Amino acid sequence: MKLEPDSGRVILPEVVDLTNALDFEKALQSLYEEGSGTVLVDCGALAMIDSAGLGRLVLYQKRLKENGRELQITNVNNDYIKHLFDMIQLHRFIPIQETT
Amino acid sequence: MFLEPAQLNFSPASLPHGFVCHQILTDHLGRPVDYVFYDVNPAFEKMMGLSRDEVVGTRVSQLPVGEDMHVDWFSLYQMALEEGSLSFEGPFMVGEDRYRVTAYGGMPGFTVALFHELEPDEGEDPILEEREAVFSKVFKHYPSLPLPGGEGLSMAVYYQPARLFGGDCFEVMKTQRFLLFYLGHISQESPDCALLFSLIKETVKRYLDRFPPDTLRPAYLLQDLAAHLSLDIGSEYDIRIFLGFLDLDSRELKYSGVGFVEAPFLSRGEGAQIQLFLPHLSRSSYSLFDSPSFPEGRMVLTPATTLFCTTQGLLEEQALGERYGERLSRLCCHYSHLPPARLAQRVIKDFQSFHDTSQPGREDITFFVLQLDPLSSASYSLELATDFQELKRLRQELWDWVPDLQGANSLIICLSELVANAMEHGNRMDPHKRVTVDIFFSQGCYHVQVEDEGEGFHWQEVRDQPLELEGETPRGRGIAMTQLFCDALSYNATGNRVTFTIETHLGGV
Repeated sequence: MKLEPDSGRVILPEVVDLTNALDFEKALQSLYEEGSGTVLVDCGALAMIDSAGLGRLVLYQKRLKENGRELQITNVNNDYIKHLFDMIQLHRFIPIQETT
Repeated sequence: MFLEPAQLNFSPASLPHGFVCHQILTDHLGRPVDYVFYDVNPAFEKMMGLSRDEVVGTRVSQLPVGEDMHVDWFSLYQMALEEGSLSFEGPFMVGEDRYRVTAYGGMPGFTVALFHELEPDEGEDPILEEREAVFSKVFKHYPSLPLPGGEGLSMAVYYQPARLFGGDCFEVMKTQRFLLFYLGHISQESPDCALLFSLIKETVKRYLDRFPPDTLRPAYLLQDLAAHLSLDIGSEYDIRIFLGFLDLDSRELKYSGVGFVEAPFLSRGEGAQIQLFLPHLSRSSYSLFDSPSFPEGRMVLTPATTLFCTTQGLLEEQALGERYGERLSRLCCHYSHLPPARLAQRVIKDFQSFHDTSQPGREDITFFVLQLDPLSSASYSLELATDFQELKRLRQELWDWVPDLQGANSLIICLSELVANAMEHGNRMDPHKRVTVDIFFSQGCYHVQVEDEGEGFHWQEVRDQPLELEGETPRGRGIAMTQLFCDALSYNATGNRVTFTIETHLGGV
């Protein structure tokens, strides 16, 4: 989990699950408290995410929206992650940027 | 009128064409090293400008003739080895005179050739075409066809030697419970390749004869090959080779190689593609004789794995700024579920379209496809401690086991959620309690059971809830998410055992 406070970005590791969901939450909380504007979640390396990881995403989207801000998902490369986001229709709650 | 055989005045001496019988000289291992003139006729004496006494008993290599003469005999001997009796025709020059050579290799240890003088206006091209066709036939016999069979695996080979003399060699053989295969490439296409390939084949066979199968190591074989070939033929040849031993029982592949443009790659069913890596395997600057060492790799091939090995002929072809090698790995990954023969056809068809021709080109093209059959049924059990860190072990073991990758991601996401629930809500994170996972795979369907040692929970309240992404809590979506990726999710009455199925042919991810 790599945090880039200046660009409001958190770069996810290959796996986000129960074992590191709290680290993810801390990173999002940090960007929520100290940042301004859009929070970017970089999924370039992400290959596996469970409901605990997804729960943090939607929770912080809700919190950010309440403050006039937004969370965006970026750099989704993995076909499985694309399929998962599609299955749960995540784009209805969190904008998913096209892969750059 | 009938003539008694004794009345027939038919001997080589009476033939108007040059006649020669060669005795093949072999080394102590039975490999051809030279040819002795065993018999010639007067027409041959006239043709060569040498008397019978000067010729008979002399080695071919001692006669003042062009290199082409040696070429034909070595090729001929190879044909005789492969088919027992063969003939071919080819142009042969003595000074300004041209001859058509017809040679036969029917007698063990001997070859016979006839020389028919060509008129100056007799076209050369048809002969060259014939010669090319014969050499092509010779080279096509290098791989031992049909390929040796093995229970639970299938193979295909495409072997197209380059014009006249191929620079590729290839072999697949079975020795006890091992399948040995190699692909080689010699950078110069020369007549010597025929002999060289024969030497490689024999040296490999001798190595296999010398050592018990359990001790076979591809790296040692390459060392042995380099040592023997450099003694036999010198080390000026640039030989690139990839060699693998597949244990047909354990499915472990041991491999080694040197100087390939691209290392062979394998696809584990849909999607996952792995390139075999070794330090000197894909270093084009090294060849068999100058590689500092022969590192060895090992990998257990799981069911439905497809291994694709190719020499550089396919890889190096370029069109519109693209190397075919880049396209090839994508294509093989995409079609890795096809049986090897169909995959090979698909590659050739694609290569022709890349090449924009109906022909696959005139360069050496050799590739080998080996595929392990998917399992029709398999079972798997794993006992986990109540610790979320165990989820990593679960996922890793599943990736190594899954017989059908089509449903692997769905299986892993469902198990991650349900095992985590079993630990947290079932065992209440009690480190003394365990979670047991049992999976049975049959006919494209995973049947899964997860059981904990807890007292169960009120599953009826949550099992059929839809997935809600809105909400204040970051947790509590596991079962709803699982429902998206599996079928027939159900609990026992207590609630400490959950079962579900995933049907891969329905498009599980």
